[in-house]
Amino acid sequence: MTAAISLATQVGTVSLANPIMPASGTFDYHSSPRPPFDIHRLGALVLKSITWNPQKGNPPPRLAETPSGLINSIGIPSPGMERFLGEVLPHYTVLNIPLVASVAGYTPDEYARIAAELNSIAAVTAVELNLSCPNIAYHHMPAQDPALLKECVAAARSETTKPLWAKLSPDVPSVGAMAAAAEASGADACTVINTAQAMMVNIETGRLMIGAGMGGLSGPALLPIALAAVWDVTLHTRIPVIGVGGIRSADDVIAFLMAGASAVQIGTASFYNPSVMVQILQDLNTFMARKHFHSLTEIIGMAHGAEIQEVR
Amino acid sequence: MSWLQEPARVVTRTHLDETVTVLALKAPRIAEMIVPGQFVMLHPPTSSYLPRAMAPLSWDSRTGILSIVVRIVGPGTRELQALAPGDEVDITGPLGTALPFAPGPWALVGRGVGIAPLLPWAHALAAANQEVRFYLSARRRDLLLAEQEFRELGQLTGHLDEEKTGHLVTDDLLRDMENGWKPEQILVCGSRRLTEGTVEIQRRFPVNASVLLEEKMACGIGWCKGCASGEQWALLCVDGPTRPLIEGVIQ
Ligand SMILES: Cc1cc2nc3c(=O)[nH]c(=O)nc-3n(C[C@H](O)[C@H](O)[C@H](O)COP(=O)(O)OP(=O)(O)OC[C@H]3O[C@@H](n4cnc5c(N)ncnc54)[C@H](O)[C@@H]3O)c2cc1C
Ligand SMILES: Cc1cc2nc3c(=O)[nH]c(=O)nc-3n(C[C@H](O)[C@H](O)[C@H](O)COP(=O)(O)O)c2cc1C
Ligand code: FES
Repeated sequence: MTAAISLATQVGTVSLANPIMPASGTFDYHSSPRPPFDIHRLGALVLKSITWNPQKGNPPPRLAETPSGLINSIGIPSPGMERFLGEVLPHYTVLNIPLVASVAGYTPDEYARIAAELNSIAAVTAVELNLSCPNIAYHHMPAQDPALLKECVAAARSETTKPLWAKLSPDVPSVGAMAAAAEASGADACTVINTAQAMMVNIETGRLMIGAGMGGLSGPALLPIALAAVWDVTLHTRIPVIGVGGIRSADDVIAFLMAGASAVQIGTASFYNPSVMVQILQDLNTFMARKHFHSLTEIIGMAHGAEIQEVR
Repeated sequence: MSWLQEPARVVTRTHLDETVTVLALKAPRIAEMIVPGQFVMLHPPTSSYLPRAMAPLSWDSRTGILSIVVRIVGPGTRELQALAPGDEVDITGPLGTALPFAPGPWALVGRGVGIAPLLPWAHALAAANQEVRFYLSARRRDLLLAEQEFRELGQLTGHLDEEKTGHLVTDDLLRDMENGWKPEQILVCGSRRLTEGTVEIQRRFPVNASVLLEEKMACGIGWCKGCASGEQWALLCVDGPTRPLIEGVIQ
């Protein structure tokens, strides 16, 4: 008899039945008809980023497709904290699955206020700080400014005992250095990465394809960049990493785990195939069986090899 | 409302001309569930593009076949047009909001592939014994989709560009209304000029009007928030594609 395969993983103190969860802003379970698969099969659910005040998001057009990628400028349409707690969250707290709430602020104080509200909600397992949305009108995003990033993470940290995940941007000289700043300010994990700033020109009209001008690139084009960022973060910090960017298949997931991610998030791939996350779970089991692995601990960080582990 | 994913097969493919193709797809579960006003997302399994939104011309729950008219405007529609009988295509649906029933008379106004989503609604209205008239235009007679079927369901005023009169079918609708025909509802699809023509009509006569809108979609299922449109930035894939006429002008 062969030993059972387990896909269970840990992100710090958070135990997950498997490493697969949706990326913030790419999956919903409340405002639209329910997906035709059992979402309890996922490792966790990550909600769309929430802002303190209600906001409409960015003007259309919000999407432009490019080879191997999607540019979006959604701009976080948000019901605001009050309606989120009253109207959105109740759809999720009845589920029996780890829940990650995503927070977007315009000031450190907003991160703190939202984190404080979420702290008392038992069904929220962890809080992800979206420090890296390229689509809201900051003068710059916290993930690009170490001082501001530290302030935002520390502000949220002071208001919550929940595990805090800092979501970082690829648009910096060293994602690892930003991760180290987040770790120093109390982050329990880093989510790596958000979209990369991008734009497209409509050559027929001579205008930009995206209503707000710039957007963020996601999808397959982002994968090798995200992998390098995960690697960089594992070299700079001791906190766990959640890998995200361009994942479409179980093979992609394995690459992230081998680079050092403890779990992964899947975004744009769900737009091509809404049940891709369930498909990936099946294929992960097949991969594990084929390679005679029994647990993800055998895989996570494998690409670092013994020497690199020692350097750390 | 709920949706599902179904691996469909192309049963037949009919090229109407170099840019317009009718695909008959076998997708029995979706053909059983879909109602007028809804659409589907199509994605060839090997395609590297996102799925493309299509509003079927017709469906038959007995045969499980959906007919879709594809007009080539870019790479995604070119891939769909190239699908051959026997090829597989992933289909997600039915999506969007059903057209809300309201007592007629109805005027259905459409152009080109924008005629397609009007046909299922025409059948539904005829089945509910509502008076309906059609004001349809196309580049050529063979692109005036399902002309005969429309004629059997109500009075049709057609217009072909090859006649080069520079005139819109909304002019015909306006003329009929000036002559005393009083539609309660107008539904427009497929052209900005027809939308504007209908706005002009609404200025002169009290009539409800809605429009079937398009916006670039990534998911079609409400997850990406990319298909916002109109004044309130409603998501077309969830709270559309049928929207109040005014939103067609804002767009
Ligand atoms: C609800 C809905 C139903 C539809 N039903 C049909 C149908 O039955 N038959 C059919 O042929 N087409 C239909 N369309 C339009 C179709 O989805 C687009 O033409 C298609 O996505 C274009 O893909 P592409 O890769 O060929 O072109 P792209 O490269 O995506 O675009 C080519 C050009 O068309 C413009 N464009 C692309 N998509 C849209 C859009 N959605 N709205 C406005 N402009 C756009 C682009 O700006 C560009 O200029 C529908 C769209 C929606 C939203
Ligand atoms: C349409 C869309 C909306 C997004 N919204 C959010 C958001 O609200 N908060 C956030 O932290 N990231 C958001 N993201 C970024 C994703 O969570 C993810 O980091 C990124 O898309 C890369 O992963 P992918 O290539 O798998 O999509 C969004 C991405 C897309 C494509
Ligand atoms: S297309 Fe994704 S929300 Fe409408």
